[in-house]
Amino acid sequence: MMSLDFIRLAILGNKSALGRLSAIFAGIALGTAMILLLVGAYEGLSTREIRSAWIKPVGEAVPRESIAGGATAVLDGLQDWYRGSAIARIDVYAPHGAPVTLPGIPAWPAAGTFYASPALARLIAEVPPDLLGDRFGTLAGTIDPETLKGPDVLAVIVGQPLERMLPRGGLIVAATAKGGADTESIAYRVVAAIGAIGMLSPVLLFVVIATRLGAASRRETFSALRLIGATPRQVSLVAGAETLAVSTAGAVAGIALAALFRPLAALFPINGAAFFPTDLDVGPVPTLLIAAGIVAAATLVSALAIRFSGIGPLGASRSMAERPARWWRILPLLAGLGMILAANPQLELVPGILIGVLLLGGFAMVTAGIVLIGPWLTAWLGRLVAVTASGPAGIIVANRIAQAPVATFRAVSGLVIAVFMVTVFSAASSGVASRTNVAELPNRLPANALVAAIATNSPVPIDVPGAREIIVGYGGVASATAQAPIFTGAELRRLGVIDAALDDAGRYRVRLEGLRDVTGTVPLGVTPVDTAQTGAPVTLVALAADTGEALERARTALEAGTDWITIPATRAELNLLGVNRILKELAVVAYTGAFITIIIAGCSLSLATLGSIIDRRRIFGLMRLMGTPQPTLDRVVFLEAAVPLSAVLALSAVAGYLTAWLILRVITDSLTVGAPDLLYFAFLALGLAVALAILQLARRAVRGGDGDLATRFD
Amino acid sequence: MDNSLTLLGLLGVAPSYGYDLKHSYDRYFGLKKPLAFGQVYATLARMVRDGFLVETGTEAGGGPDRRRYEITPAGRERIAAWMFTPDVPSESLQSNLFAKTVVALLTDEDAGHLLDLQRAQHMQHMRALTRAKDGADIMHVLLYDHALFHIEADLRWIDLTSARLEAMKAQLK
Amino acid sequence: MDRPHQRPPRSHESPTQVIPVLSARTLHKRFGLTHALRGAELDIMAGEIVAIMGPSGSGKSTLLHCLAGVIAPDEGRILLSGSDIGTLGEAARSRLRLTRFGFVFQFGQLLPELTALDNASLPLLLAGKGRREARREAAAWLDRLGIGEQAGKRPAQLSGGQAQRVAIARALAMHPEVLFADEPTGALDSLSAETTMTLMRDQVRAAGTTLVLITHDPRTAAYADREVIIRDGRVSVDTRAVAA
Repeated sequence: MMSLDFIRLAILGNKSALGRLSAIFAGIALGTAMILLLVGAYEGLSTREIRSAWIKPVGEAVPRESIAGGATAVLDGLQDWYRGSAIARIDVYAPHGAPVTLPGIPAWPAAGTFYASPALARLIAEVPPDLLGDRFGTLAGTIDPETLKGPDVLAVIVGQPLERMLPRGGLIVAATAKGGADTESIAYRVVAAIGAIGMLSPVLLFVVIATRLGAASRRETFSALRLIGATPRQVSLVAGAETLAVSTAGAVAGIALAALFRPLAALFPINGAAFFPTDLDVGPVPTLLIAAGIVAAATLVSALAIRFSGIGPLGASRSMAERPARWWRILPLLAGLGMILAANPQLELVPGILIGVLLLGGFAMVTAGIVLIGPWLTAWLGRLVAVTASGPAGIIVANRIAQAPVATFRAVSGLVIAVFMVTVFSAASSGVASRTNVAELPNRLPANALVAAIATNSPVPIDVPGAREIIVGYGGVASATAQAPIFTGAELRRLGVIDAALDDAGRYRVRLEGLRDVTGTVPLGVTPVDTAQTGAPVTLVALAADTGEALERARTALEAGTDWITIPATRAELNLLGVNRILKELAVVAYTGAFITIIIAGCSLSLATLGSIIDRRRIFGLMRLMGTPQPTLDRVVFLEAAVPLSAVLALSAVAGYLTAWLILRVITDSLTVGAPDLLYFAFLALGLAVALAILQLARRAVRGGDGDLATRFD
Repeated sequence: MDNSLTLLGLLGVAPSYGYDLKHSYDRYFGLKKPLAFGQVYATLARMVRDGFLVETGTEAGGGPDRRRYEITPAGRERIAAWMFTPDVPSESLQSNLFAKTVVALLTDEDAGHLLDLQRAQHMQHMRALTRAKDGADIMHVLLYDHALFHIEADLRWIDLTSARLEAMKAQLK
Repeated sequence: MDRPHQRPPRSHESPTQVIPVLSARTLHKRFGLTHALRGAELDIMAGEIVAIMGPSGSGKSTLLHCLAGVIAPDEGRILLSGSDIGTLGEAARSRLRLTRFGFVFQFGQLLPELTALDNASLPLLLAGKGRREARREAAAWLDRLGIGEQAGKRPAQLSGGQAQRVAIARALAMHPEVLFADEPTGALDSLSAETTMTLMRDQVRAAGTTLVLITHDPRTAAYADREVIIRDGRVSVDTRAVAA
């Protein structure tokens, strides 16, 4: 059919194309590295989640008799806090000889001792014991880090005497304990996948642009081949073979790059912990498969691009104009938004398992939709420019846009997607911020209040180090319980309730759920109590001297000195469980991701712009020869990026907001997007600055381009 | 340039007095050197003798300039043969060809066709010359090249004139 | 489409083959609003050298492209040794151009990245020959055309005339039935033009190849056996060869 020698000839004969091939090589290497790390992160999340799920145990509830008899080992899964950092905690009572059923520890800690994760052990050693260490007792050893989620996880397993465990609710038989199916994790995986798509898209665009570099300058070569009788298939083979060689080399380099950067990437905390670098490693077989996939995709893109670019035997003289961008390009974007909308569980349109699929699919489709709609909008704006253009630069640009809207838009597509992604991340995390920065609300516990339910016979301290005051809530009469204790009116006011009708000396029952709510919608249910009986202390509220060290001192004292049933915690801490925590951490990743995305988008723009200038260097050279002033040429380069960017920027920001809003509605019904914050605009400014810098460089490339005037042409 | 045939050609447009004929001739062709009356009359007399023309009347005052001449069918045939027979490349070819073209335009004949015929003739000559160069010694090659360039010059003029026929026609009317 | 076995050299005087090697019948071709060919008709005999002339915009390049299977006409037929090639698909036409036709265009259309030798060996490689054999044959052609010493140079390092000779070598490498030349001397000075035409003529005569030549230059056209004049998309003058 066709000899390998021919392909070899076409490839090796290409010494002049070194620059182009290097760029493709670099692009593929970078792309491969990024994809490997992203996939690694996605997989690593679930791997380590499964591995460390035991730290939040679920199991059979313990029958009262068994606890009282002290025959079985029991566990209490808790969340402790230190200065805003969560500590995963398991309190355990184990009768002598009970077999250890938790991984990571050699034996059950005896009462008054504890096992800590390496990070927590370090922390305990660093800070004064009355702030942290005294809570747990004596250090018995370290939890094996290989059983934990990440190197920075704070976890502790505390041994307790039976009496302290008895009053608590929610105890688990240790022998039946297994890792909790962390439903958070599923939401996580969806959100993580969204983040991955968000960062992958610019990378993919970058790879496509890199692969297509210099396609136009190959036109001459390919059309000459077609003239002398090469079939379209043979020409595709040449293009494909060349890309195959370069992209294979690039993919190998990418694998090496990923290995190199893995320890760095592992430092980013997601879902509560940073990564062990090994968790980010996808494994040799998947790595090869991914690399092979990238090589195959790049080769295919290259071969197909040549096939469909209409290069014929007369290619150089009669270039085929692009097909005009049609209105149907608007459909994928709308479809994608529709899919995300449909995924909203409240609408009950689809069964639960499909929600994740719809969400991800919809998001991917919105992303693709923006790339698709770009040329259409660019063509429209181009028409406007054609009508209003007065100078030669405007006319040239308007014509190029009319002839090749897809190519013109492709150059800025990376930036447009970057803006979209940054907007999505930013909008979503601003919604979170309004929640996690728990605002001081009226009729709610102040930030320095620690609240705990205590056992019936618990010591009730009057003086707690670090606390200004201890307020005791009573229960056992008038329907009052630990969750709805009785306080005096004056005490209620000190707890943040502002209700003029309260009588200082009067006694009122109040719902704790309302006091510690953050949405501002849960009712307090303040009810006057009319019996003279006091009841027993059921709740303790400590008002700390500050929200820093004093708070921790008070907490430690309470934990060590009382028989608490619910662990002392502030209002903010009680609400940072669940989805909120996910999104808070996502915000960190989001901005890093946004930053990386913009850098990649900048690289795409630079590649594409330089590529298009090189492709048209003959034209630029001739124009300079004709006496076209440099500022005019500069304007051409600038406008060719500015017009498509302007056409789509507003759409992409709006789409980003809409998408973020819709996604949040699916994940949680209690969050919504907030107004754009300064950081968002800072990122936009960064993106524009990057774009301008690149265009400046491109202008320099145009300037220096005359040495290479096409000689043989004339 | 063949004066006699040109004069005959002009008479092919319409009958004319000798005096008017000379002035017509000068108007189209006498740029460099107007024709002498004596030459005109002698030529006209010869063509009457040859049967291409007839005298159709005389004005009072009786000289040849006052005689009216008209073309005969034989004369018309002679003109057609002249126009549509290509000339051999020579120094006088251009003026001849010019005359033929003008006459053809004036008499509504196919001027483009006669130019095509001449072109084909020229090409044939060029082919012959080119073939002759094959294997010839350098001196002969130079000679043939010289001839080739001259014929090429003629051809370029023919091409240009072909393209200008419409404009010429408009101006002649 | 298998090509016939190579023919012995023919004299240019009287082609004895009855069927023309190339035939065009009522060809029409439009490009957008431009009606480039309006019923062009032409017969070319095997071994002939035909010059196609005409003013610019007359459709001569389009006619050549149709005859050479580069583009397909909108209406009409093109017959190569009696078979209609106008309706062939892209791949089949590519095959045709590779094995039965050769091309020499005004600017050579050489690949700038390859050496003269590699350029000349391209068709052989495309057809499946091994690199060593292809290079050997190509080198022989370069020698035959007097530029054997330029084999290792790239097109940018060659003069116009030398580049055209590389193009001729490439065109003849596959022993084509018909050689198509579009303004082959357009960019050349007088002496290079003469050398190029002499070479082409000698080569095609020796191999019995038909040469279809587009030119506006009479001295180039004079190398042909006959000329055909195109005007407004139609053949307006067609002189058959007159024996010298």
